[in-house]
Amino acid sequence: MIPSQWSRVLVAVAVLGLLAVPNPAGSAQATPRDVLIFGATSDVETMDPQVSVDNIAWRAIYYNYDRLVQLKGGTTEVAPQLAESWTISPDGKTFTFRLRTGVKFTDGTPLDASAVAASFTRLFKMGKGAAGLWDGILDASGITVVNASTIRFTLKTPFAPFLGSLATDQASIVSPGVMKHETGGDLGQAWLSGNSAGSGPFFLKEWRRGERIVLERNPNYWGPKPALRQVVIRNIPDAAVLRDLLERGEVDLGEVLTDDQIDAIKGKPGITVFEAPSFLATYLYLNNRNRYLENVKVRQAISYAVDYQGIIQGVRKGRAVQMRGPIPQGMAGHDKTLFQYTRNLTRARQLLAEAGHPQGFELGLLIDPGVREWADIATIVQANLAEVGIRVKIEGYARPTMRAKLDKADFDMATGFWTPDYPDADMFTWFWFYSKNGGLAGNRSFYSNPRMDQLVVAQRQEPDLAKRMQMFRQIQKIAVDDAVYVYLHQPVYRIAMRNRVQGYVYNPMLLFMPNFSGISKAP
Amino acid sequence: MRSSPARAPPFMAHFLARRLLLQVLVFTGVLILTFLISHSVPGDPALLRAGPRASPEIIAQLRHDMGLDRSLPVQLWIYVRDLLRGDLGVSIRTQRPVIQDVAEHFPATFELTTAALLVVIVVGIPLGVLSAVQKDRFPDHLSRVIAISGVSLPVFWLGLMLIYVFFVRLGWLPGTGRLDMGVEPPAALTGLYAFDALAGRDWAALRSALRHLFLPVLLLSYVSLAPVVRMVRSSMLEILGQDYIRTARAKGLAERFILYRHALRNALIPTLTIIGLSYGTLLQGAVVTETIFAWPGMAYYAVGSMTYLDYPAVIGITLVSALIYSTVNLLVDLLYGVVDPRIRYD
Repeated sequence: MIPSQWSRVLVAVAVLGLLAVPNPAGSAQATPRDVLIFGATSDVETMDPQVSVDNIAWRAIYYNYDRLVQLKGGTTEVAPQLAESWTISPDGKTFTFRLRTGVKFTDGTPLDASAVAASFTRLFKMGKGAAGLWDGILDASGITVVNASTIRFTLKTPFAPFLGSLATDQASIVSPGVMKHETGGDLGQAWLSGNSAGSGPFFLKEWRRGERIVLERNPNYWGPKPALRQVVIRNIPDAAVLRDLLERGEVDLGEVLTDDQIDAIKGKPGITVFEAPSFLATYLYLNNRNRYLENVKVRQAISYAVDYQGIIQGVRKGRAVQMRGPIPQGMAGHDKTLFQYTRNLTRARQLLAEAGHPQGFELGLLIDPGVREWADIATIVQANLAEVGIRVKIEGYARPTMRAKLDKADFDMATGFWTPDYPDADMFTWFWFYSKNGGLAGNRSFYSNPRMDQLVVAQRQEPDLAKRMQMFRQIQKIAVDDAVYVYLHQPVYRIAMRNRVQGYVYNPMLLFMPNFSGISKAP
Repeated sequence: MRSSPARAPPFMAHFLARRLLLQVLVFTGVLILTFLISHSVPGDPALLRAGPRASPEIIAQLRHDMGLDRSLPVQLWIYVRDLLRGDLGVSIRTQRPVIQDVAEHFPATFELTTAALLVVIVVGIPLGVLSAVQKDRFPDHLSRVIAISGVSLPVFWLGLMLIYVFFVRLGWLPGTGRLDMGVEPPAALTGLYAFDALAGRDWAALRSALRHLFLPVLLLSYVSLAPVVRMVRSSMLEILGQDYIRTARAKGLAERFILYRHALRNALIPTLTIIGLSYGTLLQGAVVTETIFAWPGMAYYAVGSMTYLDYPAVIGITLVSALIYSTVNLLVDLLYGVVDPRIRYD
């Protein structure tokens, strides 16, 4: 009869139900002492350092490789890594590096000058976005192997931030052994996208896409031996789930991206929340090709109309500082005395009237609604500008479309983030204001000013530090006077970890990239 | 009624040939449509590939390398030519051959959808029968409410609630992924963790895999249950009113025998069709389910590819999904003959 059939189904369901009994180990699972479980809310796309331009992927890539130089601890200071020492020619164009000897890649290939040359040659030959840092400055022809332990870079033009740029993920030294895996002339890209070929403190042991990435300690590492045997980067897209795993101790260190999740976990037993200022510039692009925005008075009026503190309170719950000009606070070159716009509606209305628009006008504000912070900022800016008569239409597009529109200047205003790749104010000046960088390359306001062009190019080529800093002061003044962008804020970077995690060092240049090689775990 | 064994194969071969030809046509249609749609979306894949700081020269070079500077028909022709060689192109996002990415993500989706399909069959058919037998009485209303609520409640909401209740509140079941942290995946045989663990007698992995399967399968099967229950119910009701059922009852046959040998067997034909079609619903539901449960399957890969405008991956996934779906339905057509010997393939 049916009841008996039914009961079989019920038994089957009950058996499955038994699986629901929690693990015998209990909920407070302690992870092994020499294994760090890192919870990440997004997965990596490629592990090839010469392709990736994604901070999230760099976290998994960076410690599989060494570079000629490194950033010292939590600072932006450059220190030797594979290069023991270097000399710079007086004209600032020739850099000669003496390499550490006896270093080998994890695939057994010796790391010498020709390997370094081969690595940079691969980078430039592929010409992916990762090579963009040195575009017009260095290419394969500028690399000379002097002898097995000496390599020389000859730049096409002096480039003051060059040393710092060699500490970036893109400057990772890739083993020439990667060419053994070449298929169809891809320079080993398909293979390296899912493997590692470096000489760093770790190497990629396993990658189950969408699940986890396992980095294993390099037993033959030439430098200080990492305390951790393994770093497991778990992909946990839901921040609420990640928070729960942190609380239970199943994850040691977690990048919980939302402030409410961090607030919820802060103060819980066994949890430490680390907070420090970041270099993540949050700003608005004002398309200077727009018929209203081309007028500096209109841009200044908008800069006066925006409620900076309201945005910091409303969007970041007070955990951000208002930007003072384009160069973030904490970065060499930042001018503490620079004028900072604050909300002044009378001044804003006056400027609009002077610009001939006392009645206001309509402007679009382009965002990717997938970024919650942008959506929130847009709503506040819309209300702020309405008070001075500017009607803002929020235009939401998926990221690929938004980026295409930004690149083609097909927008009025837009929200944006910017993090520096190398520790130099050049990242916030040459990229942002040089007229030839219009679009995604960096000058997203399509600003054009011959005096500014001259300054941003000159600072790159200036070997004298004091003179360079003087140029940055001038650049910042023009950038603020001309209200090229609306400089909103620098948020506080927050990361939650178990108390067991020791030796964590935050480097604002290595955003989202904890120092796995220096971290250890208490028993 | 039954065709002679000697004559069956030619009929079958003829039928198969016709069906396969149709499949090729459907496939070509899907290919052209997906290709055109994914290439008409505003946005520039070269920009995405190049990254935020790339110079215009690098972007132009990439556009050239990716063939984006050629005309659409030429791009389509190149794609078809490569496809015939089994090459689905290289993913813009992961830089790997799409076929490799799909092969890596496919087993997870197959495991999830097949387990859900089994649950749909095992639960859906008895529920439909129960509904028909107890028509307009409490069990009927209950089973209809269960089935209808599955289609009516938003999948993402239901998924989040399941995670909240069973993972966050009760801590009974894991919230995301396919295996627990300390558990190594079983020796790869099929890529279906539960099956591989069973085959290799790896009980720890089996337990972990089943525990991780539980919530996503529950969600996916629940939301796909309604069509099967309703189809079984209505076909059973129709058949139970037929003369031969009355005759069987008059003969004094056991009710259970009548229901299963006479009624259900005849009600299975339309149900099979619905089950075949519901595999499409399952593949669709997998998109949300995999996203919520961080289930690293094809749908999870597809969502990532779409937000990246990774058109080689998107086209590749669509083609593979179309292939799976049409194959399942071909199998269903062949199953008709098993369920009902009167059906002949000519």
